Amino acid sequence: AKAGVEAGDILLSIDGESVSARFAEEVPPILERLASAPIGDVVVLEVGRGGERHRIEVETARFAGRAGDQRAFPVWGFTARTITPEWARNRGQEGMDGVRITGVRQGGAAQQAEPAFQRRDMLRELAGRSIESVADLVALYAERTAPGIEPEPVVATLERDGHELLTVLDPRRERSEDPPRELPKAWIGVASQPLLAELAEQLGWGELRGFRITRVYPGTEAERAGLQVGDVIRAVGGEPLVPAGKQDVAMLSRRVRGLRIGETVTLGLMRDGVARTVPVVLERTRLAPEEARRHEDPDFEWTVRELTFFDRDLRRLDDDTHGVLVQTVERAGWADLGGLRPGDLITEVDGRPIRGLRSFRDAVDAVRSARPTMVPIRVLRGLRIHYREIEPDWGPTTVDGAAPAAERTDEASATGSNHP
Amino acid sequence: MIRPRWSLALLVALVWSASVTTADDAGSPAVDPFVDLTRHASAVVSVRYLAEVRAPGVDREVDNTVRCLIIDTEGWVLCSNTELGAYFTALTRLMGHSSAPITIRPKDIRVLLDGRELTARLVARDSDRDLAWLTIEDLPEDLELTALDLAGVRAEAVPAVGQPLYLLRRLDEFFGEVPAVSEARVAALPTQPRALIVPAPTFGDIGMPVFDRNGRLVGVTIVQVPGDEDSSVVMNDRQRALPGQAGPIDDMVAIVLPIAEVLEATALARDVWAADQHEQLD
Repeated sequence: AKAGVEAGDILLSIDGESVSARFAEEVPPILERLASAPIGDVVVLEVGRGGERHRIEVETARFAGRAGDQRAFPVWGFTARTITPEWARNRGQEGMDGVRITGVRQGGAAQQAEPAFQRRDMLRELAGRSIESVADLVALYAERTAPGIEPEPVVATLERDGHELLTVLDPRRERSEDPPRELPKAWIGVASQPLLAELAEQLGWGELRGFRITRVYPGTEAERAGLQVGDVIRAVGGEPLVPAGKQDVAMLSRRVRGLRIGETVTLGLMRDGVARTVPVVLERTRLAPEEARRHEDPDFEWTVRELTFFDRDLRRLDDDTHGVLVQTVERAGWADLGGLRPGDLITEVDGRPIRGLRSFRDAVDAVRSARPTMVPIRVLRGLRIHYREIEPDWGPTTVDGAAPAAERTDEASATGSNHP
Repeated sequence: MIRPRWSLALLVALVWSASVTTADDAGSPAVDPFVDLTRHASAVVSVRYLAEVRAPGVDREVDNTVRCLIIDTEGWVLCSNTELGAYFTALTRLMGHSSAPITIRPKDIRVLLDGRELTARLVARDSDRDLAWLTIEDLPEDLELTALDLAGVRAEAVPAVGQPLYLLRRLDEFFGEVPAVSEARVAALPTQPRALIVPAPTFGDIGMPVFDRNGRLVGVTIVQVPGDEDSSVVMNDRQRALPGQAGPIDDMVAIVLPIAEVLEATALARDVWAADQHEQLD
């Protein structure tokens, strides 16, 4: 437009060569010819207007596109896109400074800000710096999230429906807490099922009621006391257990939890038709998986947790097997793209053996400092050992991989001349 | 000389007053709970947190604000475990959907006090008793906490059936969070699944202190629903309460846990927290 081309002009030639399009299908090759011109070159167009031929020189510029460069900023919890001239024109925006917010992550710093970031907000300033493009934001993000830099709250200036809003973006609030532990309760190291009337009848056990042991956990006081799968616990501390239906499924565990850890309780059993009593020392409830300490990593986008007693029992892991369990893997995150799955037991990270959560955190911190292009992970999945490779993207960078201080995109040059 | 009818009236009055005096009242003057109990109101605080909800196909975080109790001047805060994230699990069980694979973790916990947001940490929970404990981190030196100090509470006998109960709470912030006292009576004293006090009518607020007519702390309101092991229990249509109808759900919500249980659990929570500080990860 600045060169003098007007709506309604008929394009007759490009750099002296005639062009013609009889059908819509013949237009793309003409556009491709224009687009293939080197950026910064002068292209001579001849156009017809009002019965006259006009010669116009146009200096080519980088194609900005309708949608500008978009990047994600995980620590801040939003995605943003550069405002392009076309986008700005369509909305009556003056100039093209700033970026627009295209996505806000639930629970992220941007969503937790008050007021929260919203899609379509314009981000004008952040941390005292004017934001004119995504490249500016990338540069600021790189500074603020560099290794060794503690995240700090920053003030953001947003424009929303003509209003200028100030808000505080505090990335520190994304810190995830370890789940607290349940108060320890008394426990017997067995799993059981209620022995109800129908089952007892089918087994020929008549009026016998109680809780049939389905598993004796190894290494527990229950195992040491000699409890066996198939034993029916009929009484605890002399008090009978008589489950009547489904509503009593928790009767045994609830009864035991009301007793004291370390106490010796006498269980009334039926084994192979013979009644007997067995003293068992009550021990502390073991950690449930939901109580396990965990580590959530925003770069790798995975959550891992420590192994618990029940994990080891379920997987039949020996005492020499150590690691951390993958709990969640974000879709399209580094860990997901590297082939990690929930349930994987990570035993090595970048060649470093993982004994538990501390060694895992140390290994990940070392990787984060070194910023390698590939991180090998050794996992135990089921019975098999797998080696996975995570390829981190330590960015964000701009789309063309340019350094954060890349030049801004410009509109078509205004240095053209108009020759009738 | 006392005329016969006056002496009879005096005798009736003496007998009548003796009949309404219980062991609970003996030697302790009754107070006006609607006036007296509001002195504890500063111990009732708002706690704000982010509930991280994870389930198949669901991954979101929800902002929540609940009421809890400051129980000592060191910054320990007592809450209902249900209010701190277990509510959804409780709700699914009440609706008859058992063992839903949903995890809800509270994070970014802040105690709102005196115009400030104080970072707090969830340090222990007791799902059986529906209790959870927070500690305020980095308590400002210039902030004086008003606590419902459990250290000075004795585990008295629970009030008998028919005795009045008074719940201290705060109204919603829409009403300026002013303190309020609700009244009920002891309707029942079940011993399953544990010793509990059932108020009638039901108190609506969870995690709030309950007092007797003499202003003594007798318990805290909690939620009691079938636990994880009861996952096969499904409430039948008769048991599910329709809106406006009384049913077993009313008894499960805002039931009173006797103070003896609260004290015992709190002592254990402190031990667990102390031990946790020294626990090595690997």
